[in-house]
Amino acid sequence: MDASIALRRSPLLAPLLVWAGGPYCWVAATAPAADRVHVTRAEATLNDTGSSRTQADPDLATLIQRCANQDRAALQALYDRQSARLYGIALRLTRQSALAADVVHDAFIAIWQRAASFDPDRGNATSWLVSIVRHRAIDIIRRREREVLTDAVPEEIDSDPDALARLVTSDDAVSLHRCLGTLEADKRQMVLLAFVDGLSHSELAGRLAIPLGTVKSSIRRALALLKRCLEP
Amino acid sequence: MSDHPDDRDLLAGTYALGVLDRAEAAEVEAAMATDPALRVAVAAWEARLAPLAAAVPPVAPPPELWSRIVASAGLGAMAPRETLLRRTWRSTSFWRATTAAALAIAAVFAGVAFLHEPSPAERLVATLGPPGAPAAMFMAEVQADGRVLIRPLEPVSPVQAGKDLELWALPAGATHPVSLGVLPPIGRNLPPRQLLAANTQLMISLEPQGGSTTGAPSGPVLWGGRLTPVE
Repeated sequence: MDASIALRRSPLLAPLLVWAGGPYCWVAATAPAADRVHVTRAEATLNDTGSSRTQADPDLATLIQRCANQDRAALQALYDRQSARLYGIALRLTRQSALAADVVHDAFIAIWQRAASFDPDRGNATSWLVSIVRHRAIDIIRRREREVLTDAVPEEIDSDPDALARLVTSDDAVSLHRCLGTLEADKRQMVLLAFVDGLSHSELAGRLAIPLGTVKSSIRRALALLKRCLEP
Repeated sequence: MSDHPDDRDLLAGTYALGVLDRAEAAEVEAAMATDPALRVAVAAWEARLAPLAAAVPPVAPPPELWSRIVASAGLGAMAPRETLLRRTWRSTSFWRATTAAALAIAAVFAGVAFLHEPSPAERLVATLGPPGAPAAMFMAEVQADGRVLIRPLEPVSPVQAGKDLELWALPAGATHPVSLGVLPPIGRNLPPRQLLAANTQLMISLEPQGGSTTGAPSGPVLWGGRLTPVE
């Protein structure tokens, strides 16, 4: 029979029965239905990116904290404001719309479940959201062991005239842009390919035809230089 | 992993940057579970690097994505209208036959499964949550080769000395759970694959070091969840 029946028969599993009357009542929750309009929120998203952290993040942070209190409207507001940005990141990493949709799906479930773990004193909301998406996407592409080393090389981010220019939209980004500029070109390219396209050490080595050990030491060197440059 | 502070910090940086392979990343995640300083270092690196994400142009997600999220999170009332998914969601005997808790845990990933026919690419996942709290602590995923990958979604406090966490599987219809082994911080086990079908319940109990000696969970079951197919 069903496992739940089996559990009741087994005194060893008594602790599990606690769940039966547990607090899992989301499914039964009700709220006014509102037709959603799906629009590209590119401008709003960029504005979120663009204004300084002190302007944009308190709102995002508040929304995340409201999610921790099971406020579904807050999750929807987060989605409205951030989904285009996060989907863009996921799409760039996974290169497949279905995978990117899965990533954003999983990420919003994680946001909903883990909102209570967001600590605005320890990190800003944007990086929290971006990190959830990136780690999920990278986990998926590593599992699939993408075949990108030899085929379909994407456009280099450095050659995208808007890409780095987009960085110059917030105080943090201005600093990062300036510090990236202090790196040698090959190290800067590695950092960007890793962050934006999700290339691993070994994928970087294959793509750039550089020995793996050199890639690893270059990345470490680049990170150390960035950190020093970004320190106040 | 070196214990030198600079090395630890650069390790956090490489993890945040995303250049590590899966095994290396899993190692860092395992270390983060018990090392608050490493968690802080990773968060600091994520904050340093996050502005790079602005270099990627935003793209509108597919219109149906929000309803998928709503369904998966169990936020049904937010959906604009009755969908096939939601009718299925409410009516299937599957739900009646499960406890409310297992339902909510499974609901996290079940949405997709109802929308699509099972496919060879289907994978089985479960989120394992504690009793009495809606949070998921672990994600379990059955790999193509039959191994179970258990990943903490939250930092997990180290278990007390002399104790271990043990993973159990209870297939639908079975009366006795089968041990899948003691969890390392990041657990990979090689259980028989037929145990790990959809609706198999996974649970993690607190046991004496080395695992239960009785062949069944002897300590409290701390987290549990049900395997659900996800395309």
